Amino acid sequence: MTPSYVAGIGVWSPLLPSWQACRERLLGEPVAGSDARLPPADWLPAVERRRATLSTRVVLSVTKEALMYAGWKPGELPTVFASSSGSPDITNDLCTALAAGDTQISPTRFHNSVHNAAAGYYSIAVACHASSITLGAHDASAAAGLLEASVLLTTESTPALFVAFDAPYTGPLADIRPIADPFGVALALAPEPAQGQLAQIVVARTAHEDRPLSVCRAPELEYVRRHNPSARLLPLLEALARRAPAQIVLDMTNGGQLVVDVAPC
Amino acid sequence: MPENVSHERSPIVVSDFTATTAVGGGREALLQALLTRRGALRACEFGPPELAQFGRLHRIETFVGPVEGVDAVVLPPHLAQFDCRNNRLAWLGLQQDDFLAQAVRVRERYGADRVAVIFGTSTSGMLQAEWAYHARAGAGPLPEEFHYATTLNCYSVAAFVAEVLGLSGPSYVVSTACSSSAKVFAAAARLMRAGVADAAIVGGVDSLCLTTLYGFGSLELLSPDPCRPFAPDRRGISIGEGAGFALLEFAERAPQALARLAGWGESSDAHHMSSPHPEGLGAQLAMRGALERAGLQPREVGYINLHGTATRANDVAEGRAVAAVFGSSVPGSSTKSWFGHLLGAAGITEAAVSLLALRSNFAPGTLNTEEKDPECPNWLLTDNLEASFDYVLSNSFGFGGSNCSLIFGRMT
Repeated sequence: MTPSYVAGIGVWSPLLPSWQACRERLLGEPVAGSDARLPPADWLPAVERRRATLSTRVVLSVTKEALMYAGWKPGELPTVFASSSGSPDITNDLCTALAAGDTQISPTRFHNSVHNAAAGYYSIAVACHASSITLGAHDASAAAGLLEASVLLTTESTPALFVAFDAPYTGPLADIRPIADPFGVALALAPEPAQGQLAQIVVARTAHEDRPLSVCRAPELEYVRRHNPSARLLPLLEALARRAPAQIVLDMTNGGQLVVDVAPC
Repeated sequence: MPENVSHERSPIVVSDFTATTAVGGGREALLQALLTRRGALRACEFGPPELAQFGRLHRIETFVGPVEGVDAVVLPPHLAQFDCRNNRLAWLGLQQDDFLAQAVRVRERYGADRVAVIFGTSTSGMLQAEWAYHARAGAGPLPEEFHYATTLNCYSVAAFVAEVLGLSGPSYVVSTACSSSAKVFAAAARLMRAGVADAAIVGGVDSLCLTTLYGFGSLELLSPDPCRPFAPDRRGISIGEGAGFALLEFAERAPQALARLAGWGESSDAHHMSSPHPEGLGAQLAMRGALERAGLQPREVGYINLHGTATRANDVAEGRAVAAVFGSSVPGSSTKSWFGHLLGAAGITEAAVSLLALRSNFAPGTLNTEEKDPECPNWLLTDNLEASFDYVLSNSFGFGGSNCSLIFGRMT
C-alpha cells in the first residue's frame, strides 16, 4: 500500500481532552491544566445539537480539531468512521424501554441507534456530500478503520478523514462489555507529502500474530488503551508525539495484525 | 498474485451469489417469485418462541417479510455462542445454492488469509439483546446465555461467516443503515484493488426485531398493508429480513463469472438523519459516481433496481434523482413489495435481484403498484418486462444520508 501522511490530528477523552493534552501525557511532560469538558457541538444546527449523543459529540470535537490542525476544509473530503458499538447508551435505552413494555420509541432515539449516526451528524454539520463508511470489528474496529482509510488513499489517491470513537455502555450491558471512558481520535490523512505534516505512515495487514502488540508506556494511558476499543490507537499516537521512527503493531480480527510503520516528517 | 493479473486493473467479477428472503431460500426461489409475481409479505405476527412473553406488547398493524424456518435452525455445537436470529439467518442463507462449496473453493484457491470477509448489517443480533433485557425482568445482570460479542456487537455476522468458512483474511462489518450491504461490494473491491486481498466474500444479514418494528412505527413509516412503492396511495414500508452472499474474484483467476462489478458510487446527503434530501441530491451523486467509475453513459444502463421503500418522501426524492441523472429513458422498479425492506441486507439481496434480471433477460415490475404516483416519473415498471441489457444499476440509501449505487455488467 502507498504511504499516508498525517496532516492533522484530534483527540478527545476525559483524560486527554485535546491533541495538545494527549501529546504532553504521552511524552510524560507536565500537563497544562486543560478543560476536560466535551466542547459544545457548535457545528450543528440547534435542533441536531440537542439530539446528538455522547459519541456524536466526541466525533464532532475530534474531527474539528483534526481539520483545524491540517488547515483543511471538510468540503468533499471522504470519511472513514470506525466504532465497536456506535452509540451504546442508545442500545441500553431501547432495550430497557422495550423490556418494560414501552413501545413508544422516540424517533430521535431510533435514528440515533444506527451505527453511522455520528457520521450522519458530521456530514450535516460540515455539509459534506462525499463518500462515508462506518465500520465495526469489535475490539479491532480502529485497526480495521485505519486499514480501510489507507486502502481508500491507495486506490483513490484522495485525502480522507479517519475517525475512531467508542463510548461506554450504560445499564447491564456495561457489566459484560466494560468500556471505561469515551475516547475519540481523528486523523487527517493525505496521499502526498506536504509542509507541516506530522508523519508518514505505511500500514500492512499480516495474517499472523507473530509480533508483540504495541502498548503504552505510562500505566494510566495503558489503562485507557485497554478499556476502550478506539484507544487501541494510543501507541500510534505516542509514536506521532515522539516524532521518532517506530513500528506499531495493532490487533486485527481473524488472527491478523496491522503493522504501522511511522516515519516523522 | 500471478504477474499476469493486475490487482489495480483486472476486472472484478461476481463468481457466485445467493439470497434468502421471505420468498424462499436461494436464487431459484427468488427468480421464480419474481417471474410469477408472487410476493411473500404477510400480516405481522412476529414473535419467535423465545419472545412469547413479549405478547403483552401492543401489536403493530403492518405487514412483514419473515423468512421461514429461522426459528428451527440449530447451529452446530461449536458455533453455539453465535446463536441469535441474525446468525441463524446467515446459516440458513449459506446452505443455499451450494454456496458453501463455492466459498470453500475460493478459500482453497487463494488461501484462507487472502480472502476478505466484509458484511453489512443494521440489526446484528439486536433481538438477542431485547430478549436478554426482557429475561432480567427490570433488574439484575443479563442472563449468562447472552453472548455480547458474538451476537449483539455489529461485527458478529462477519466473525460468524469467517468461523464457518475457516477464513482469516481482512474482515469487518459495514454498518451504514440501509446502504450497508451495498457498500460491502465497494469496500471489498477496494481491498482487492489495494492488494490486501485476492478475493472476497461479501454479504448482508438483517433480522426482524422489536427495535426496528417499533422504531419505524414511531416514525410513522410502517405501511398497514403490503407496501406499494411509487403508488400514489403508498403508506410506508414493510420490514423484511434475509441473508445474501456473493463471491468476488479477479476475472483472470475466476473459473466462472456471472457478472462484472462494473462500478459503484457512494455519497452523503448531509441533509437530515432520517429523511432523504428532497431532490435526492446524495442519490444523484451516488448514481453519477457509479456511472463514472463504470465509464458508462446513462442510456447504457438497461434496468434500475430502485431503493423504492414506499415511504412518501423516499419515492419522490429517488424519482427526482433518477430523472435528473437518467431522464425517462431507463426502466426502473422497486422489488421491496416482494419480500420487504431488508434494511442492512437490502443492498445484497437487491444486488441478487439485479444479477438475476441481467442474467435472465427481464426487468421485474413493481409488485402491488397498479397506479403510479404522478409525482414520480413515468419510467416506473409495474409489470415484468422481457428485456436484454448489458448493465443494471441498484440503489441503496440509508439513515444518516448514506447512499450507494452499484452497477453490474453482463459478461461478454
